[in-house]
Amino acid sequence: MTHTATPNSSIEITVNGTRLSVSANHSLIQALWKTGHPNFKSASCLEGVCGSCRIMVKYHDQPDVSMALACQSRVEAEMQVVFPQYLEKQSSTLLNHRYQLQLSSESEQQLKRTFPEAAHCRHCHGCTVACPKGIDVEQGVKLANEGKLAAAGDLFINCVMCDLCSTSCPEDIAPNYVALFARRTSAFNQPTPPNLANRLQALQRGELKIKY
Amino acid sequence: MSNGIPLEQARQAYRIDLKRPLRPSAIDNQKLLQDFHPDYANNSHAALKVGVNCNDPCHPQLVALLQSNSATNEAMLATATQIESDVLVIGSGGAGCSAALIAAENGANVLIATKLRAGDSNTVMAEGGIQASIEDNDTPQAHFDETLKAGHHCSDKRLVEQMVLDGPDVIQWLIQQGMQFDRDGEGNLCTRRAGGTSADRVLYYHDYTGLEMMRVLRESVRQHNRITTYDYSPAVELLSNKDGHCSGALLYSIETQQYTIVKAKSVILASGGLGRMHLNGFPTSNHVGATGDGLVLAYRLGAQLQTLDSFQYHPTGLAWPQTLAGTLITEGIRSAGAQLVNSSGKRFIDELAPRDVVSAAIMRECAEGRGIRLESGRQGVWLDIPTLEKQQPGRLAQAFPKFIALCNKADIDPYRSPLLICPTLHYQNGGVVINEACETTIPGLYCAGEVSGGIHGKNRIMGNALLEIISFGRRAGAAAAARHPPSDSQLLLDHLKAFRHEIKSNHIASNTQGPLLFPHYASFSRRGT
Repeated sequence: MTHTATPNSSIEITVNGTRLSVSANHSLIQALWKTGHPNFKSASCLEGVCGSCRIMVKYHDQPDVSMALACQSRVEAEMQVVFPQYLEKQSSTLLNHRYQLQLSSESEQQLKRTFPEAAHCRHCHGCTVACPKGIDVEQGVKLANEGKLAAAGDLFINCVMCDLCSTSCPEDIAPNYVALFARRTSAFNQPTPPNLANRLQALQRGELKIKY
Repeated sequence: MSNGIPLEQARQAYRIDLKRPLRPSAIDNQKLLQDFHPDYANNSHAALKVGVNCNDPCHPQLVALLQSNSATNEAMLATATQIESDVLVIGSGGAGCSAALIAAENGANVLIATKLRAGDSNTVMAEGGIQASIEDNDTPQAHFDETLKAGHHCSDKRLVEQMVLDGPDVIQWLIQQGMQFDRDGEGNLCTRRAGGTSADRVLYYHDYTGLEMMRVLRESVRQHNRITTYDYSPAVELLSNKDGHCSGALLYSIETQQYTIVKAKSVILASGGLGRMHLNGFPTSNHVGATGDGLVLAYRLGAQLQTLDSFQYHPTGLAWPQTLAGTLITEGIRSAGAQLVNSSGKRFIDELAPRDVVSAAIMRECAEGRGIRLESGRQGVWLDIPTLEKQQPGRLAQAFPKFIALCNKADIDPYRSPLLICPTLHYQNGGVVINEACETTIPGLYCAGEVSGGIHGKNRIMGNALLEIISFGRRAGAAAAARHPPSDSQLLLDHLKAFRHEIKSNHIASNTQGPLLFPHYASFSRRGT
């Protein structure tokens, strides 16, 4: 068990360029709250599933910057943190794709039409490195480009739509949205589950009334 | 209150045990609730002094919120930018998104105003699943009966009837939106059993049911050309016309500190619950924005509320480590077979009894000296994961990735060490009174999801929240879009004047400003207030 630091001990960190003295043994979000540091826009679920508290973080003993979720990160002395801004939705060319879910015979063509830039992947690994959930994002794009939509989508089970992969792509691919397209298309194209279909038919026949 | 056994000692004493007997209870469930459930405690009872629910029982912290001061004034309205939409949806969780999608599909222009980022909600955190009666050995009637029974027969039967009959169609609609569910080898939807029920009726996607739902709905909303979303723009007041009907809302931008008036023929409140009020000092499983805003706004406008003294304390909130206190561990894990064990290694309750009963049973173990004590004095009991893993090796890792991520974050090896849990404030059972079309008692104001009341009575079963938000969200969207625009669409604060007058004449001096928008520890304040 690594919860050894006493709760009251104080450490120094840098957040968005500001030096802060925070209590050890807290998540970054909890520590910021304790300092009164305003971060209303970048915390919601605190369970690592909403993606709102994404950060770029550099630990003093590591050479590289990594991506993480602040609610899932414990404060460490001399860590440097930036909360990156989200893309402006309306102005972004990244997030202007539109599609209607269609039958699978159409889906490969639809992917190419909807996300033409996906084919331009230069395999730089930027997206994969950027993912705070450890998803092999680049492989997902590759599988989608090969028409293997179900396999591509399955790689993204843990995706919280934090958009960091989209932000990091030099070709303006939005990999998490490509993957979501793949996931949704796969779900849409699975045969109706027999148990659900049976029940829907029984309801339509009016066989299942409620009595009280 | 007895002390229990210190954590380290209890951890040393813990053993995997495949045959733990269940200790028969000497008291019945009703007595258990009376004596140990927080809803029944002395500090949970007060009555409202003003408004349409005057004299109704209500939790004292909620009384203070509902009778709080409003910071809204005429100057804010005068300087605000005004925009117009057919339908305004407040909140962007599952209820808000499904309401917006259906309203837009029915031709309405929709504006979603949400306090945080689109989709930040309790929905995204939902793990257990969604109820729908689809198995051969199950019926909507059983779903209906068990929802009523678990809720202590305090539900509005018409609402429950409609919801359980909607169930299968809700699932079909979600699949058509592109949502995945776990399926068996024959393509059937997998089901599991919720506490307090007799049939496998909870459908799920791993322990990410809410995340999967929210990914899909948020994307549908984002792509819809008749829906606009305002992020970081909580509603801080509802507005009314001369007849007292809802005609819009005042929004406040957390980013720009500016106010915006939205004029709308219909307003749908889908603003969720209030776990971040930490009733009775409990930790909560809720997201940061769950501060009961919708109840305050609706009550000031004169909407009737109900069941304001009943809240769900989910049995299995993480109790240790302290920094993660309150984080939910899904009921799905008990449904899969995990047992609750006290400090002497004994089971003390049917783990799949209704949630309020299981929580009361845990509180009883702690109160009677059979709990496990933290240095802070708080107590909990074990959720016995290692024994489950021994019985069903590999099940957890495969079916509960979110749970495994939580254990990693907590530095707990769940295969070797049991988890210390205690009840966590999870859900607001009551809320705004609605009818089958999600209309409140105020024309023009609709409600869907946790902010509304009447469906779960005094205790909700697992999976009925996700069903409720889609079933009623869709209906709210359809009804709001179909509403005939009123002839008078003025945007006034007359209802607020009347409410303030009532507060003043009752000599209530509140030092609370509502809506809260954020929990106190987030140190938020609105410009000019």
